[in-house]
Amino acid sequence: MLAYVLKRTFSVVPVFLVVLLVSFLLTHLTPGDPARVILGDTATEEEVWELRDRMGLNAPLIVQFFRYSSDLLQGDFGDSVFLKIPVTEAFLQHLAPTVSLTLLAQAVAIVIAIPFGILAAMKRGHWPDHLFSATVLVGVSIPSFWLGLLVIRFFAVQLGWLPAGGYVPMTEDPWAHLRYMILPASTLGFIQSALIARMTRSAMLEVMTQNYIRTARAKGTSRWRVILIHALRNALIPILTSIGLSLTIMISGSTITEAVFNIPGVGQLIVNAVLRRDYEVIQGAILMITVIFVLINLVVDLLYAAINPVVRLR
Amino acid sequence: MSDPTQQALAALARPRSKGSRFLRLVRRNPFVPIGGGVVVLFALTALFAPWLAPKNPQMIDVVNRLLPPGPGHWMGTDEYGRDILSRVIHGSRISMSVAVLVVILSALMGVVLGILSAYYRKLDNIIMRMVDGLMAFPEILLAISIVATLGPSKGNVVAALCVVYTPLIARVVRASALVERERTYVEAMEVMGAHPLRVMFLNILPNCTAPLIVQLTFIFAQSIIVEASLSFLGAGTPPQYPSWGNILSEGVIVMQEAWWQTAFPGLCILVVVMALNLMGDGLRDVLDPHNISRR
Amino acid sequence: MNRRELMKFFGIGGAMALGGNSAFAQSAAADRLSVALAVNLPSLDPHFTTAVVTRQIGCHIYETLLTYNADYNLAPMLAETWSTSEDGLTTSVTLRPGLRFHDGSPVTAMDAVASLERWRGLSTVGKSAFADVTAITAVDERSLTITATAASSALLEALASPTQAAAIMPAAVARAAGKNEITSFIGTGPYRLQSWQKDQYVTLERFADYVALEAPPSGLGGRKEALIAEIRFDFVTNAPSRIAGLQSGEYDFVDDVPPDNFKTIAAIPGITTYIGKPSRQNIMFFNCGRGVFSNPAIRKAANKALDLDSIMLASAARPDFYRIDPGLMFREQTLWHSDAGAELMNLKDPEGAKADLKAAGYAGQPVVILTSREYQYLYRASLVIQQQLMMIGMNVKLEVYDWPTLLEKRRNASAWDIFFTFAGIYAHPTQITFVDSRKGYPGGYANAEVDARLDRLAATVDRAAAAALFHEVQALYRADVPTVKLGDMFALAASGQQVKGFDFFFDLHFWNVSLSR
Repeated sequence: MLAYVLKRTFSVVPVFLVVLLVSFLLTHLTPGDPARVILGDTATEEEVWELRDRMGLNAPLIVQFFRYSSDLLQGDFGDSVFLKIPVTEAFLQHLAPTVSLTLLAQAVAIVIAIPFGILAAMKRGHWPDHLFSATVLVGVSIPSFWLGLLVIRFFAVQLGWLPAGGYVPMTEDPWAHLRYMILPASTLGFIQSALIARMTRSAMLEVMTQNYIRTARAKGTSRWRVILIHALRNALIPILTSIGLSLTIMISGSTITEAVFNIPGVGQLIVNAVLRRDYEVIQGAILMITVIFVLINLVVDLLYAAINPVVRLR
Repeated sequence: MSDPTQQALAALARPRSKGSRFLRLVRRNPFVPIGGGVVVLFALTALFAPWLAPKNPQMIDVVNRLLPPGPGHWMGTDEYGRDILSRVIHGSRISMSVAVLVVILSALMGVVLGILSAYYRKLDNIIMRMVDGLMAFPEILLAISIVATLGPSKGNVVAALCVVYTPLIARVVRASALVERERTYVEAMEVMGAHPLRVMFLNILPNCTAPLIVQLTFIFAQSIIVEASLSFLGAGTPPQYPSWGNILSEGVIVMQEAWWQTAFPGLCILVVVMALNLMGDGLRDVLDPHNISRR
Repeated sequence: MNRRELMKFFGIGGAMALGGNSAFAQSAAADRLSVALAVNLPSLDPHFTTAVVTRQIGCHIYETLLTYNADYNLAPMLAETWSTSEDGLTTSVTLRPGLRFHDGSPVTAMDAVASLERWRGLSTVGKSAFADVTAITAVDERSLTITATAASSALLEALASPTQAAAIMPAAVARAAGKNEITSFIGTGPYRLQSWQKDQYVTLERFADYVALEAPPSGLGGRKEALIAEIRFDFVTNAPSRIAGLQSGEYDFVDDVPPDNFKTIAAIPGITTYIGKPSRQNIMFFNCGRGVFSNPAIRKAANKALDLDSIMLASAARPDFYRIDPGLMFREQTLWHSDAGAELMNLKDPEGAKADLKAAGYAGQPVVILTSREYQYLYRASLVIQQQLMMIGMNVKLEVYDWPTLLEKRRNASAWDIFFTFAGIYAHPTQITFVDSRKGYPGGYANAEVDARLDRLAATVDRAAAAALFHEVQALYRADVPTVKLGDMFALAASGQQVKGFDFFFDLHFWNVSLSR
């Protein structure tokens, strides 16, 4: 087991190297000049060149790469040329909205998905099941930005119930925070719920054909009791797995939702950074997201190995 | 190569009745033909767009901007007075062809990488670490960075999506190829001295197609959505050419004044992606015997 | 019914009655104006950047020695008096007494000298107007002199320019920053910086010790009062979010309303719309230095084909949101404005253009238009122009980039033939960046006669004589067709009816604006 843990943990190193190299090259091969963006359209070439020099952008690419990597080893992700704060700080500032959005969306997804998934499994082949399948199909097929725009149009503009976009930190005003989050979290959550609901339905169906469920039913236990106590408990593992999976998908999905609802999350940070060539932020933020991704995967893999010894042999 | 024993083994590797069983199951599962039919319909529209579109999709007529749907312009006009119906019809070309190219190219690369890495343990480590690295990027962010780097063109959007999806396919192919590789017929063929390429691509690959096809259907659907999302974020195919994503994202500003500009391309995306997902779900049920008992 | 509607329902009568009573508005509970701006703030250093949004927020925090009144004439701000010596070489400025910075320290001539020294090294306007300045010296606590080797009409105008403004900040701040961006934002304006959450918002609060001028408000000059205790500027780059936010009551005021939404918004009860004119001119630049358009005859032929009305209609959505005008300076700047060259624009003659093009020897060479979707109105213009040029047989290719990439591509003279940009209000003709060949603006236009007249203009202190010279410059420039001025496009903004007393001049500013919720 220890050997596997070590091997798996070290396997993370080359992944980070690939990510580091790819993100560095992507940002530095991009045409466009951060100095020009900062100084504005009417600044002269001379002024731009001078600022580039002070920003270290006139050095050869390879020098810039080594400079960057060695800073990284000391835990320094550099400073954002645009925000004028360390990238780590910028990332952490933008992480809170994304985490909040993702968790709330996940909550919405679970609240929608599990009851409806169970209901569909129970009424399999009847109209609730068909309605369910149709809704799930729409959920996985609708472009999230379009859904977001429709939701804003209806709930914010037409009805005026909720804000159309923006963000208030939870620390400032928890109630306002929730009000701002309801529409984006529901939009993202609805789309994610399709995945989880589908898994719930099929896991429930699978469990229900098992012998012990039949036995319980035969013993005369009430139908709903069987479903909620016996079946659901056993279907929980695949459902939880799908929830975990959707959490990682959501970080990507939240980029679009953040753009539609104007939420200052990590996705917005990176999209803005791409649009104004804030190299350090693009690299740093992508690196940090990837680290989070890879670490989650590592933990999941190690947990699986702990549960299932066969994995270790592979 | 023409050794009869090898041929017999190769035949063994292919389940004999698969073809006919497939057809039978497809007939029993109506979603595959329904979904497939819709996709084919859109594909034909894309193919014959120049003949189907009533007007030149690029023809600007500023005086007649933002006309609501009606005779002459069945889906209305956009903010340049261009005919939206014609643009949506032509838009299917870019949207569909981006998706098709992504499917073909990432399938080719993914299959090669997946099988090589299943077959050669040494390569496996290298390839899979690259794959892990690329899959660690959130897909939209990776695609935006690539398009920003290479510039906005249809080819670059395709390239960006291929970088995103190739690792996924490599993984799927590798997973099922690993199972195949352990089967006795592969071992037998290796003992008989069959060329590794032959074993990989003529024997192992055909047995990995079921999960591959299902995966490709979903990638097709996802590519259409991601292409539109990239356009929405301002990093999609060149905005002057109509793609569904471009028509839609240009219409976002006038959503309140001219709902038709976002509604029609949005519906097209929804319908095609739904059809593809329907088809993918159906195919999964048909091709994966394990699923049949559940349905 | 949301909070805002409830307040409207119950508060509308009271609000009307209190409309003129600013003292009461000040003490109202919800004394915060919420403004949605369209662009992220790159920097709050007024000397450092030409970015419009820096000016929009900075003008509340910082002040200049001189400024412009509603007639675009010089008016005092921090300066009490100013004068130029007979020979035009020495300019003296005396500060108003009792001025204070936001940190409480008094404003002295030393602060002004340090600020001007920093500004003249950073600002494009300052560099050219102060090129002949040899010394800026503090005479005493309140007066300073600027000594130059040649007389210049541009000097005082540069001190008043709102873009890359010659803002006065404490000497310590100016010296510490040098050529780097400043990190503490201390000015003299009616509002001071409270917080700046990068990429999200800036909040300003009323500066209690502000000393206002006595004179009535006019343009950017005169009495400035912070009637609202706090202003919050949110950066909402996505136009639909801004509009939806105005409709749902999130924002009191939104900048940059897309012209297509104007009608919808204007129709909503309780929303006031503003058309700001002048605001900017949309300009198409030919690459005069390289490629097809280095041949003036081809430029003129292309110009002959253009139908500016349909171009501007696509950009501005409605005829009342733009005007076709040949002026390099705006019509409202009566001294400088000229109609020279009007007969050379909006010719709408594709047939004639086709013939001219052939005569000029155009043989299907590719024409590359650089454009960007970041500025919707420029993008729309580029699409319509592409079609109009293709109609006369030009082989036009559109290349669409994000704005930073476009600026980068534009530097390479062989990579493009046409690009678009807009120009805001120039306070003085010498501040125009693209006419004078020595400013090196992309496009490579050079006409020695134009440059010579600009030099004479800069040395002419008499304003009428300078204006006459400038009219000649415009006539020469228009005849060369290095650019096509597509039109003046007006600024569109909107607010809830609770916002009172807003006046668009140059750009947004919210002093003397009150809230009546």
